[in-house]
Amino acid sequence: MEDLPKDVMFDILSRLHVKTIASCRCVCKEWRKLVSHSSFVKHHLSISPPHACLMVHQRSCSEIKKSRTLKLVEFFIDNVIGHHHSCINLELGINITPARSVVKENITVKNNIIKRSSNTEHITPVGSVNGLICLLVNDTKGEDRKVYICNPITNDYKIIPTRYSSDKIVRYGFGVSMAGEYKVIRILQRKHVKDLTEIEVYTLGTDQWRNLGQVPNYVSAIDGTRAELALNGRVHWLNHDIIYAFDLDKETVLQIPTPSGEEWKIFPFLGVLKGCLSLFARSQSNDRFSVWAMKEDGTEKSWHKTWNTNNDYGIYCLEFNIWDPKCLIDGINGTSNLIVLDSSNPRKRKLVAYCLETDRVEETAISHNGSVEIMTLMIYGPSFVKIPKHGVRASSYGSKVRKNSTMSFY
Amino acid sequence: MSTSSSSSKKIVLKSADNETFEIDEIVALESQAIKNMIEDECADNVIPLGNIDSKTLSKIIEYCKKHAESPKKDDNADIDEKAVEDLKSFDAEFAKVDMPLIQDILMAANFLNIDNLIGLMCRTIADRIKGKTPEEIRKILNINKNDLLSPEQEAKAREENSWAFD
Repeated sequence: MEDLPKDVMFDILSRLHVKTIASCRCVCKEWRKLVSHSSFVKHHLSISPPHACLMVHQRSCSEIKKSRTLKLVEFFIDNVIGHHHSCINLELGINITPARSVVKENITVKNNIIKRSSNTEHITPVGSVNGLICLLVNDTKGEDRKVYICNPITNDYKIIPTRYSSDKIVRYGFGVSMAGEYKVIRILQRKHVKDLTEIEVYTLGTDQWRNLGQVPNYVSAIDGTRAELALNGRVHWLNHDIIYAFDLDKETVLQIPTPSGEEWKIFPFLGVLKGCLSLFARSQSNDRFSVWAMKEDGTEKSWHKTWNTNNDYGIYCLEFNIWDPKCLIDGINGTSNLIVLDSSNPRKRKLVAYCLETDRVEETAISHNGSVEIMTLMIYGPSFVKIPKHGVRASSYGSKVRKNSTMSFY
Repeated sequence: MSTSSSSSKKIVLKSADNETFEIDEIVALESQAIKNMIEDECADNVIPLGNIDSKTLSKIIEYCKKHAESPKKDDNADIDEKAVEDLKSFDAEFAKVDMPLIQDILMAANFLNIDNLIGLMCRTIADRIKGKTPEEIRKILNINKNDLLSPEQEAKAREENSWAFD
């Protein structure tokens, strides 16, 4: 085995599930090196599906322990044995020691084990791209904020310093530019200057926040469904029926055309299906829904309605308190799925996957914790990507851009 | 790459243990390395393969023969499905050999640059270690004892990857 050239070893390893690859890191010295090798990381990233997992975070003020757990569910519907829905459940605890002792600070990722020592901090997922997850950590007063970037698969993490600011930070975002630079963005409203909205960018590996100056005020306007999504070098969000994007290469805010008409404007949210920016919306009568996809990046004409359900099967009821659609996700076998919080049994609320192609509903392994106030769903693809550290060129990391998406619901 | 011009030209391959194998040129062309040698006219009548033993070489020739006979995908868009299935089951049978031989075939296929065969062998190894623990993987692949992690390193590695061992 030791004589095999690197690229052949990469070929073997990259055919394996991340779980086995993690096992392989413990096999011998050579393999340990191989898995961390930047060409392997790049190769693995380029061949693995970007939307393989659903990351679920449930936050509850009464159960802070549970609020520190990120659940990663591998989303897999097997066509061969007739739409059997199997989930591989990785439960990752995030361990954050008190903010004061910076030296000891660490995130560990363990299966079902959560060690923690501060009761006052909680996490909010910001986004995920190429296997890296961006988390916002703050104390319950919402003041002492820190941004964590972590890769739960390699147990790597980085804390991004955020100086205290009295300005109101409205929104964080995380994505990777087409050039392969990972960037955290934040939009803030100056406290003492009326209607002044600014945007700041932190490029991983540079260790500094850059203020890009004023952006149009509408960028900070927030409506009910605060969802954001990173795709093709842009972070997208939807505000008051307008889709905005921050171009991570040009570092500019742009407006993305929307479908024509009014039909899509009822409780819409963004998603990614088959690599296309997609849009979910309810019907006026609330008993059906539609999904649009933007086929080319361009005009409003490039939006196509890809799904228009008639609910002939009567399997769902789009009342918010019964069926609450949460996000769109590709199945591994090429299906398109809608993840729904199903509360038809109020004592046993759970996430279900509704397959758009087959109208079938499959249970996921995730039940809704009763005390949860905020449930965040994100599309996540496991990778071995290293977090760029200060002073190291971004290109030496596995930062090949692949189509990826992020969604957050607050 | 394989136009079915029935060239009956023969190529002789010589293994490390000095066994010779006479094969049709079209079979030899499955190897990109041999193809390059022939095209560059630097192949003599006999091509010596000093790092491939006769057991491995005969397996490789068996593979190349089958694949050279089968219609290529890029020849014809609506390819006979039966031929595809046939080739698949041949590959599956072909891979049913012990691990040392698989590794020898993989090394040789890599040297001879036979893309499909490299893929088949990598897939086979991956299938055999799929879902296995580090101990099992070491055993299956007979990993060199000198290359093992020290107990401390191993403990650290396991700690880091603990989520994978449930």
